[in-house]
Amino acid sequence: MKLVSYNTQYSKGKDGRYDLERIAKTLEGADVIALQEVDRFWPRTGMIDQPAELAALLPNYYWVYGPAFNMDASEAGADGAVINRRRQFGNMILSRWPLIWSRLHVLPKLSNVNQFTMDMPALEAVIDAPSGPLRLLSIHLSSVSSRERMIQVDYLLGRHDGAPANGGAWAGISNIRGDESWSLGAPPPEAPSEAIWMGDFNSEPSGPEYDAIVGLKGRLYGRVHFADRFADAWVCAGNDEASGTTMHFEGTKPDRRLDYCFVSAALAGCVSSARVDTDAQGSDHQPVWVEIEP
Amino acid sequence: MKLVSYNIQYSKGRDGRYDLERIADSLQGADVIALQEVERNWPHSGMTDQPALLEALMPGYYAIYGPGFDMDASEISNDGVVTNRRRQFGNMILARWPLIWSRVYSLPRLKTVDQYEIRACPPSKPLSTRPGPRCGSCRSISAASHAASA
Repeated sequence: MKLVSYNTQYSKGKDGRYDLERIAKTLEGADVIALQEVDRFWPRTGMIDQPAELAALLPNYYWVYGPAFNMDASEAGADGAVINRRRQFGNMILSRWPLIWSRLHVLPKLSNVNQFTMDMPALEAVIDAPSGPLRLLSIHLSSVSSRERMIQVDYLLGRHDGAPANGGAWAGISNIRGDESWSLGAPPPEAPSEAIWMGDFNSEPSGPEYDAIVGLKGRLYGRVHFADRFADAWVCAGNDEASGTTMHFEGTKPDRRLDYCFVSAALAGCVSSARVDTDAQGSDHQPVWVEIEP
Repeated sequence: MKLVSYNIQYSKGRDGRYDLERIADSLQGADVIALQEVERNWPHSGMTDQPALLEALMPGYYAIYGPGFDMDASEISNDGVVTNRRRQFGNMILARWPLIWSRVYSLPRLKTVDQYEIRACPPSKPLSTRPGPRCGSCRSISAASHAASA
């Protein structure tokens, strides 16, 4: 199963050109796609609906879109009629298999006065994969400060710890039968405790965010994969955690590793390969590809 | 300013009839409307898009929809073409004035084994009447919230 995470920078490439087709081509061959920075109704991208356009460019994928940033972009006509529109910015998940249920987390945010900051999303979905249900989160942490990111990581780890008690979109038994049944005759949707986190974490392996997610590096045993925490798929595939940069500056400053695929520790052995697509030109980030055999 | 909160039971009335126009009639004269139990793509309401239908029934309002419950309702044809659709259930806010920003909270929920329980969620927005400073306390009362029933 091929998974890819890509911060698309709303399709703005290294050449400054906006090109969603280029983004879609880069994603060819993926079974599961976790995107960040997909926008709707922004002047810079011609007021288009990028999730809808990407879905059209990538036919036969199931998809969900989760905006955290959600502002008014409506137009009011002279006759008082409102054309209701929202200016949005957020994450998207596409999959060859149905997305059984989905949930948007608007991550905790700290307001500041001198750096642009905004609501950031973690979009969660359970994929009806042939090997069984797979719970994926497409995550985009704040770019502003480690303080803010650590609050966001703590929130996500808290939800991860609480996943067994939390369950999926619904649970229990509907006491209404027939057409009116809430369950529509189906059993409760699966909600695996294990999860895959993909996305732009805006932080490097040397930071506290990485330590919180994959565990502290010990002198004797390195990073121990505790069952309730994550493994870095890039490292599981045999790479050094300091390699695999995903944001390149062409020598003007050091390249950075910001984009990751983390898998629940129990899935660490399922990772068969990982690579960074260093050729992709469609964004200021590079896509991260991971193959797993769950 | 007239505000109204209404759990519309996805438009199912006391007579068992589904009627969104009746819901819209009940909301006439409101400046700000906080709705709960608005749905999309459920068989019992004819696979309709209730937020879109309500928007059309209430022209001149700004509207946002925030589903807490979000499941697959896609169709796949014999030749493999996917029509992507989500079965949703959630809250809606309508206002005579623009909804400057909005945020969905996916509330914590406990999984049950015997009693049906779905994810309840409130979309919220800050309420601001220009000109003048924003009234902080309005933020909490403007949320269309829906607490779990179990």
